[in-house]
Amino acid sequence: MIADWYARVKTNIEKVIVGQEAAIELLLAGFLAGGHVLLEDVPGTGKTMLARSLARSLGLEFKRVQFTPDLLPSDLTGVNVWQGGEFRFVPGPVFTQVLLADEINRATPKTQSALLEAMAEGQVTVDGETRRLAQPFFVVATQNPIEMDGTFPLPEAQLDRFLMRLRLGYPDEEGEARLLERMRGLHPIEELEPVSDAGEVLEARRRVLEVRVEPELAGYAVRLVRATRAENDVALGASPRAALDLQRTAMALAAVAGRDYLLPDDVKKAAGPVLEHRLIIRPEVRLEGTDAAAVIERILRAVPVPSEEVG
Amino acid sequence: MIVLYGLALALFALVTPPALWPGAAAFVIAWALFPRWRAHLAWAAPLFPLYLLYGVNLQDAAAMKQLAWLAIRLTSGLLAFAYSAALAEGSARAAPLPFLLWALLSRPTGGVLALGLLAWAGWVYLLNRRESRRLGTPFFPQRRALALAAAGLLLAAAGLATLGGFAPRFSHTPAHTLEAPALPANTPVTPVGGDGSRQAPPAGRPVALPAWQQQAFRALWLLTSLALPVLLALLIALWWRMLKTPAEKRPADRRSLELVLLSLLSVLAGGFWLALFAYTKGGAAGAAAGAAPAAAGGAPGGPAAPAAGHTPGNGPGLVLILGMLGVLLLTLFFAYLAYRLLRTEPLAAAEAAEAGAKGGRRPVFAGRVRAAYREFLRLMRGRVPISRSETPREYAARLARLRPRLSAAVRELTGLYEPVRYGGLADQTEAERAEALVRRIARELENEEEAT
Repeated sequence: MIADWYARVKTNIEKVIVGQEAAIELLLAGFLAGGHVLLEDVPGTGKTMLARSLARSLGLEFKRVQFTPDLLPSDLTGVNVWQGGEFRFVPGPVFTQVLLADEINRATPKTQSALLEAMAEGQVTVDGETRRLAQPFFVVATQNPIEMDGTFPLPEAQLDRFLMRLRLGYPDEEGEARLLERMRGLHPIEELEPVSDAGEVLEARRRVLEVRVEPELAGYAVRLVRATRAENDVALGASPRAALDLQRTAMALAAVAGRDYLLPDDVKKAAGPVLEHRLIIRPEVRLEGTDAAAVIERILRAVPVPSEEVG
Repeated sequence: MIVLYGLALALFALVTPPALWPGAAAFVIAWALFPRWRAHLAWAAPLFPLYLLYGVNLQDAAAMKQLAWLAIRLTSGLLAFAYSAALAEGSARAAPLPFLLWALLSRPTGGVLALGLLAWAGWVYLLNRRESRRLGTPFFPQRRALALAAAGLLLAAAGLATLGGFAPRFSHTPAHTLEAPALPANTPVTPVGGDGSRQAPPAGRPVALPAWQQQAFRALWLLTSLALPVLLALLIALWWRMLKTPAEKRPADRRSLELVLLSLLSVLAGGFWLALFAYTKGGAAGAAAGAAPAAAGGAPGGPAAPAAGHTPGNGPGLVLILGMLGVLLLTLFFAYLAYRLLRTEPLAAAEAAEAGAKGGRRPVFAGRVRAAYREFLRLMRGRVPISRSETPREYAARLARLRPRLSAAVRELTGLYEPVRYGGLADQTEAERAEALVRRIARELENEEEAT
């Protein structure tokens, strides 16, 4: 069932986004796993369009907020206004189903943390009153890794709230040519029709939880996460929440592949996107050119995969 | 497999008198001919010495003692054999070890130990060769196996020399002669020979049990006496339940009924031998009184009778205790089986229904798929070994690059293996397909290597 759903949604998104099959798969897996995704790449790689096409394909309500230094928390969450002799709550853009937080690192930490409660708890508190957000609630945040002037890098606590970080990268030559061809007329996003709805999405999320996880594979995920803490090149390793997210993402990847059981390959595929942004690499090591991706790769090559023992 | 059974019989013949050979042969033949009955045969081991009763004078205390002793030796030997053979069926390397231990206890000489080791090495060799043939792979004994076989041969030679002319006993005289019933206390225990082996005491020379053995014997006797009625009660409950169950709801294959019948018979036989043994170990006064119920009824309640007015007999106390312990364990085992049967019959039915719903997917087939994949990894170990951090799928992809001719078979095998290893069960078709793929891969490898 999930595999059919995935094929439908993916095909629909690919009408707009070209040459990003791997990113689309991971984005949808992150969405099914109930997490939030940080898209990090240079401008013009299709981050915003990916989020929009996802929301439209799923038939979900979509809102976009451009994060700027003067953005206030209330601009995000909403405010109580005096109207007709009483306070009336005017919901902010966070009250949606797919929220695109564009250039999230341009807002102040105060505004960033306002998003934190929404992401972690699925609720916002305004003037002491807590309000639930609609389900499913999915945050796609973007940030530009190059231009750092006037930005407020996300603190580790907030980075940890993102299930995964994806880098889209540039499409290959053939993909870029296809992109030009496709954009000659009306932008395809305008013609994109929903192929799913909120009910189906929630059912798919529930089904993901039924994916069978062999205890040894759960142990494998834990060993990978713990290995990040033992790495000499890492100042801060991945948290237990990272282990949970790694397992959930791997389960979602198994589900979109049409399996009801987890493979070590799912864990490996999820490891980079789920763990990389949570590691803090020692500055001196970073200067030598080693990044989190290299550390994860090294760990994946070192930790034994549960398989058969041959005498 | 016939070679293995022959080997086991040869070992059995070495350590037992010829009087036991018919029972052992009958058991082994039945074992080989009726594989589906093996579990029942193991439980029915105490039935096999019954033929020893033929022509025995029940008034002859010495003959009765010898009979009881022989029955215990045969029963314990058959159980040791059954256990070893069951292990061998699963290709366990330690398969003959229980049998070897039994032989060692029966005749603790260096010769038997050496022969046992030799048998073990031979067994391992034959099993590996058979497995290789089954999988269609070339058979190359590992260095470790060869070293073990060489050590076994050396020990065997030394053992044969120790035996001094290789003289297996062809008489009814047991290794540990049971003594005359009327024995004074505080006489020395069985002497130990210079080579560490127990020596049979001279005929008629009285030997007493040490105090700790007396205590242990009494405790075991008490436990056995308590366990038997409990077991009987369980069996009766089982019978009652079977009778009350409408015929259409009874298990279709009637295996439960067979189990009940055989376990009941076995317990009766066990009780009988216990009674006989206890009687022969008792005082002279009790001999005449105890003989009749033991021989006529054979009821498990019988053994308790000689206990009144009887002290545990004298003789090789360790053997006595081991025998009693064996019967006790057997009794408890039966009780456990009956308990499991009472508890798990509905579960088994549900399990079977579930297996049917899953299209015959069972753990046993999953085990075969995994075994086939292990064999595949073993084949590749000396060629392109899998890395510890490599998933089966990554390994298949790497092999596809390095050995393109194997690519299709390896991918298919991996596709069969993954759902079993990480997902659960398999069916018979998948198991057979996996085994066929491993054979194909082995052939491909051989062809490749011959070509190069």
